[in-house]
Amino acid sequence: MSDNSKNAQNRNAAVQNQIGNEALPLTTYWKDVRRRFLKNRIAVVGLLILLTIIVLCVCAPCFTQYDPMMDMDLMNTLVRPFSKEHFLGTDDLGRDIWSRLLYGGRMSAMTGMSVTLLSAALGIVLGLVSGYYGSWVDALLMRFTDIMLSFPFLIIAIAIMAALGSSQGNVILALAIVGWPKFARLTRGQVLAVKNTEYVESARVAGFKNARIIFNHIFPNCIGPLIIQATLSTGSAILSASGLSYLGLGCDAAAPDWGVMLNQGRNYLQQASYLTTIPGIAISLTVLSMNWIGDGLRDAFDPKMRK
Amino acid sequence: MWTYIVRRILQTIPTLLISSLLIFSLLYVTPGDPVELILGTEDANVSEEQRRLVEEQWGLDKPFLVRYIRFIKGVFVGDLGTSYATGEDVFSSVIKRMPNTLKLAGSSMVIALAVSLPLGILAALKHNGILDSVATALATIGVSLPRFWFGLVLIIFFALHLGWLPTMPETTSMADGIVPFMRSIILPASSLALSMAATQTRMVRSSMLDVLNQDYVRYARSKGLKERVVIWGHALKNAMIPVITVIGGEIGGLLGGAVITESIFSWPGVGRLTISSIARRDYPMIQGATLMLCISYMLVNLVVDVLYAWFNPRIRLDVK
Amino acid sequence: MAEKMNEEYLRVENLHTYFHTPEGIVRSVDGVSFHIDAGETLALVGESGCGKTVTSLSLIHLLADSAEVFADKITIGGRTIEKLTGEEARAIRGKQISMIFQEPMTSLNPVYRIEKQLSEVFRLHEPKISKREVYERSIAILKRVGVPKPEERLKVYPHQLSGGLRQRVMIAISLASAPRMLIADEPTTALDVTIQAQIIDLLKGLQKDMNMAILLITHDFGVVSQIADRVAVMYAGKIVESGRLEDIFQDPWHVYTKLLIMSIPGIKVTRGGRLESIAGTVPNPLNWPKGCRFAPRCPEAMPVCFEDEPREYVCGERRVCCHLKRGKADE
Repeated sequence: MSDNSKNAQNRNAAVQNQIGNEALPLTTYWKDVRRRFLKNRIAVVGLLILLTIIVLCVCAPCFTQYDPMMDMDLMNTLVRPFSKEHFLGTDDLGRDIWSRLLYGGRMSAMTGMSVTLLSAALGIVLGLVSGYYGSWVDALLMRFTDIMLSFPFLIIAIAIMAALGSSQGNVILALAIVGWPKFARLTRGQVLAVKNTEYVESARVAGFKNARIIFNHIFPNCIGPLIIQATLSTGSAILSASGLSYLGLGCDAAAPDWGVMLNQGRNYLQQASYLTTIPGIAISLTVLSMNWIGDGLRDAFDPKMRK
Repeated sequence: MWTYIVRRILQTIPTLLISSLLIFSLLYVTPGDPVELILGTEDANVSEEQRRLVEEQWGLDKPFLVRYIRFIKGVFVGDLGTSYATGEDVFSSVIKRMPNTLKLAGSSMVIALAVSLPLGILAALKHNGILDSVATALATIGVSLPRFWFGLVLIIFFALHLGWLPTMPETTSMADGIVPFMRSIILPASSLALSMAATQTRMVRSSMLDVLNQDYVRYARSKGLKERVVIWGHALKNAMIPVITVIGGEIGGLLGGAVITESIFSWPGVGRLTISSIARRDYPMIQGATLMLCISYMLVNLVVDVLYAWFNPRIRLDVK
Repeated sequence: MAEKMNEEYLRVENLHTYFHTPEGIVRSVDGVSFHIDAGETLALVGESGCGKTVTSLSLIHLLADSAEVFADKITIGGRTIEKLTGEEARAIRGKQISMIFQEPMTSLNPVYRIEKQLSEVFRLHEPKISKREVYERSIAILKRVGVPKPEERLKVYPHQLSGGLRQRVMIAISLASAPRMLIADEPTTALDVTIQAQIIDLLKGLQKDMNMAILLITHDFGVVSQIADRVAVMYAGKIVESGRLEDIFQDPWHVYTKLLIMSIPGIKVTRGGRLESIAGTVPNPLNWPKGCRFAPRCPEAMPVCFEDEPREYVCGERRVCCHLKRGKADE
């Protein structure tokens, strides 16, 4: 049966060839996510739009010479857009709209990010605690979260604002209070999924303290969905904040803020509708780009990618 | 199914209690002196005499728990206090406007469903085609637009530029004629419906896609059933189940969004009442209106849950 | 099983099914030919991924839009079909060829009662049928498949039935239209062993009563031995061996068939007696290997096996695609 050994050799070679032909993934988790994200055209477009907006707003002084609050040209109020001196026209007090847009973007961005940071911090901590310790802590927190989640959040936000008074800081606070349940629930879900894996068991057996286990082992697994939620939350926070400003519950009327600009435009719907349309387009574009990015991230993190 | 319903009702009660407590407590957190608000004076020149009188008259001197219980009782009895600003009875003010808000919310739900169901289903059927991409893009855009801004844009376009529709409602009652009613309600309802239609389109589409991949759809086809029957009968009924759940979640957004929409369109509902009360620091009105909104919200949720139980035979027949 | 000469019901010649995917063309079925007579059972056997389910779905056009199906000839019930359009396929489905699937739980619609899922088949093929008639026929067919208390069972939802009952119900639904052929895709794999035997007996009885052809798809040779008349062994999109059940069992020609049979616990085989498993895995359908597709895993492969695809050697009713041509070969 000397043929057999040769056959066995052939067979082994063939099997090896097949294995060699398979494309083995050679990248890390994060590189893979980034690759998938960049392949998604819409997400990339969203990213570009957002970056453009960020650059414009952060370097606002480079792109406009007017001061958004102080430069009031009362001779030239309500100038229409695309005029010679004012790219997007002026408002009823002669302030340049383009400048107010750019500086207002700073305000909105800061608001959106603060809300997200605050609600994420609160929500993540509560979610980690709730998921990890379980039992009555978990039950209590989850009941509370359910109640908060089941509320029409705008009503709560308005009620909080009514109690605390109007200011941008209170807007951030109110929206953060309304926003943490989403993060808490998300984190808790992730914690529960990871908690019972052997990975954590072995850490516990090895004697690591609870806090260390939570932060070193469990937390990194939750990051993906949290990033997605953070992106989407920031967009939604910007929407809500501008809504509250529009109602007059936000920062004061002179400051450049997109919601405030919409509020001011309300009186001039007929004769100067651009006062309303322009800030709205800015808000929409910003939130849209964030939503596209968030969706792209979601698809990038999920290997199954069922469209 | 009945155990499910009873259980749901029982679950609502503690939620209601806690929320009413929160709403009521807000009053205690607010800065500002209620006495001054009532008297309409901002200066501190309120004599002891006057203060005591006002406090007694308005029950402001009683302890927290007593006032809270009176507040709760008020819901059933119909007495939620009196407005600081107008002196009107809070309960009747709210009740008078509640139907308007409900009409607005109801119509926008109808509009949202009328748009999202066909769009979502067609997008799923022509998966990855042009319609699918367009529908998904529209849905994402719809979620990104500020709702109140969309309302303003609608006004600018349809009312001011085209002049087809009024900027303020001519009537809120169908008794005044169907056409005036429709003309008055269509803009605010559409504005309110926007974000809900957008999320729902995505939901319907993904739910339908899910269902179309299921074994029972393939089996139904293998029986030789007409494609029409497979899709609109077998697939759709299953696809609707998660959609109803989502609708329940969206209701909150509806009632919350109604607040802003009513302001923009001057729609005389509870939302607009709340906003103007906030401006006037009319706390009893704010409390009463918010509480009633929350109660209606929970009732609607309950109805949606019951509908869901009815649709889903597994729950209906109480199989664990 | 002494078979009277039955007319041929299904004949398939050189069937190909390709899927057009972003990664390339997946050749799931690559030149498959077989035939089934009325009242006969052909078992299509192979590992997961060999293309047997796709073959059956191709016959009744139940694949995704990205699938391309073509063959030299397909004859169903005497009628030769060049290109099966969607509407024609639908007319055949259920009426002439029915199918039952592996998982009765997911195949039955969870939101429809049994009576609705049963009655819609009756109504489809006989639109003018009366409610009374539908009811009586439903009861009758449920009884026939062995469902106790059929009147009650009509009113329930699928999740309220046990696994065995669900499978019986699915059989009842598929037979409601009295089809000439039944495709059974792993009908017993999801069931307990005791129920398996009952279902197989049921299928045999029904086949005899209705003179129905059965295309049985399975990876389980045990089930094959209980019900099949003929066997076709499939590997990597091609049929590597086919013939009568007894012949294949007693003297398998293809190495793959041999290994499959030897891996059945409890079966006495002519050589050895050890339980063997087959090394390696099914190759990637995006990229079938050159030469004989089984060669990489074949313990008796010769150099030529890696170069040339083996031609089919025919000997009476037996066919085999293997360079190690066993038995008398007609060249």
